[in-house]
Amino acid sequence: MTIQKVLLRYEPEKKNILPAIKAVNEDSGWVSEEAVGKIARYFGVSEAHVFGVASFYDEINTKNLAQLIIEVCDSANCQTKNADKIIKSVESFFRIKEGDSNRKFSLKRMSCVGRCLEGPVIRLNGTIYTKTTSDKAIKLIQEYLGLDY
Amino acid sequence: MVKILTENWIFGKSLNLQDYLKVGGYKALKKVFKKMKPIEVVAEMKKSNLQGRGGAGFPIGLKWEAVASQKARPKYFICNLDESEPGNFKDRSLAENNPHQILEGIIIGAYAVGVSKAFLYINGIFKEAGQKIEQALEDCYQNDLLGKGILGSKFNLDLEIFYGAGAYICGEESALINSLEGKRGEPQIKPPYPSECGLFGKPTIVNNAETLSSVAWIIENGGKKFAEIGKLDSPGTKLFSIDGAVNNSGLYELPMDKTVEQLIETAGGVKAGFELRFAQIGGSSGRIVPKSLLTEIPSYSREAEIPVGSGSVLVVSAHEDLKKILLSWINFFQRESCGKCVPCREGTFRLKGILERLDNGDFNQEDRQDLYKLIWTLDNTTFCPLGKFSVVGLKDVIRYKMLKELV
Ligand SMILES: Cc1cc2nc3c(=O)[nH]c(=O)nc-3n(C[C@H](O)[C@H](O)[C@H](O)COP(=O)(O)O)c2cc1C
Ligand code: SF4
Ligand code: FES
Repeated sequence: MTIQKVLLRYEPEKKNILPAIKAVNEDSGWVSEEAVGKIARYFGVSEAHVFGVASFYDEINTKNLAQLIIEVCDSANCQTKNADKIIKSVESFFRIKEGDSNRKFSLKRMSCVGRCLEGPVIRLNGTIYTKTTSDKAIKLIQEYLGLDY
Repeated sequence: MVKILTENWIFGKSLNLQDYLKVGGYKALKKVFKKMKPIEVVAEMKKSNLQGRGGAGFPIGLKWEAVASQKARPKYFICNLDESEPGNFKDRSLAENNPHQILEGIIIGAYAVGVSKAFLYINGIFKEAGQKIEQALEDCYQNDLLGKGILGSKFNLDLEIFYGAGAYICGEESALINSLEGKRGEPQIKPPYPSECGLFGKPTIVNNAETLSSVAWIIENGGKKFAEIGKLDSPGTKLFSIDGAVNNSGLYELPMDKTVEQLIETAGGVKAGFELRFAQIGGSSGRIVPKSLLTEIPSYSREAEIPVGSGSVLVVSAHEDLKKILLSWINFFQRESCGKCVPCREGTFRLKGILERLDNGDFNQEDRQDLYKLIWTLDNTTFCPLGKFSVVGLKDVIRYKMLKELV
């Protein structure tokens, strides 16, 4: 869908700025400079305003990110369920470091998503997986990347 | 034991409108329209002494009274379902299991304070809860429970759902309002409070979803009856999410007169082979309860040694690496710091560095001095409570002399 088409689903009112940015993010996977310009014109606000909002929220990407985003919840409940171990295993299996990002994948920690009882929790490109173990996490990631990886 | 919040939950099935009506749903709303003036509804809430379940425990009756008496128009009503404190899932569970109970609370509240436009701000990752609320909303519009002339009365209410986008700070009411207005979700200076100058500069109620879930019960049974449940200065029931080294981790509804020990017992007690080191009440911003304080009763009472906050209980055993818990807390607050004020933005970042060195065994004399300065700074100089929250646990770890064994 073109950005314009996405925007037309919203009335140009202030309260629709964030929903529209989210929709563009969902549609294109990220919010580019070009998109920021279009959104700003549509709502009659400055580009700085739109960029400021877009860059504020975790769910919105202002960079064209890696193919696979791996997030591991390290909030207290998951931490007591060995979240750190999962991070270490993924790091050593795929030879990446937490915080690193390359074209193929990025690995980072994330905040509690409220599924604590079913922890440890990881998220792959936004999809939540519960009750993970190191092995399960590695398998899931391989599936995303194509099994030969 | 009396149950209010989970009384009608059907395990594994969300109550739809039909189910909710069958168990007496929207009877309170009908009662309000038939027999009660808005100020009578406010009076009933005051009598109940229901305190806000979003963490701060502010009495709902006083908040409603403040907004009801405002002259400015329009006014707004916001239900806060942004829940993102680590270890908490009570609001999400309420929305998934019984969404209409929340909506009934919103409609009654809007009537009481004179609002015709309400919002429900929900955490963007709550997909299932969002669907349940959307369905409930649609059913309300189709059955005369929202929209123009609700249930044949002269009262109109429009309710809109707004999805957050992943920011803990947006649970703070003034940040939430900025977020709804299409701005960065940063907190605003208080006063003025939202009850005077909130959404779009108008008087606004912000209430937590769990708080609102008790409203219909109070209207039906009377504020007095509610005020008699549990502890007198902190009445009612509360959802407790109990997790960690316990046998039956889960979500439990209990009156707020239970000691920490009783809460742990409710969840089946500490797991065999584990020894309790401490419990943390109210998520990563909550106080620590060592063995010596297990007989404390967490509540919203001003005298409470242990504030109940959002109501989560994390039982941490002696098996656990305490350094990892310290890191988990600071990682959370550093990530969630909105960056508006320097002491929190920089302070959480520096503190994280120090705690990482503690974890690596590189903690030095300078770190020790900086640690205390940073704690003081975060505790006393930040713009909003998040900065203070970031060191609550750490301060207790020091208070109960647990840091010594780590360095
Ligand atoms: C950092 C921070 C985060 C908060 N997060 C939430 C939240 O997720 N949900 C919530 O209801 N209240 C949260 N609050 C409290 C709100 O500011 C506000 O007090 C509450 O929504 C009022 O509703 P209540 O009186 O019904 O509790 C938070 C406060 C702070 C300082
Ligand atoms: S204390 Fe932290 S979260 Fe609060 S305004 Fe300052 S930077 Fe933002
Ligand atoms: S602590 Fe990981 S989902 Fe809550």
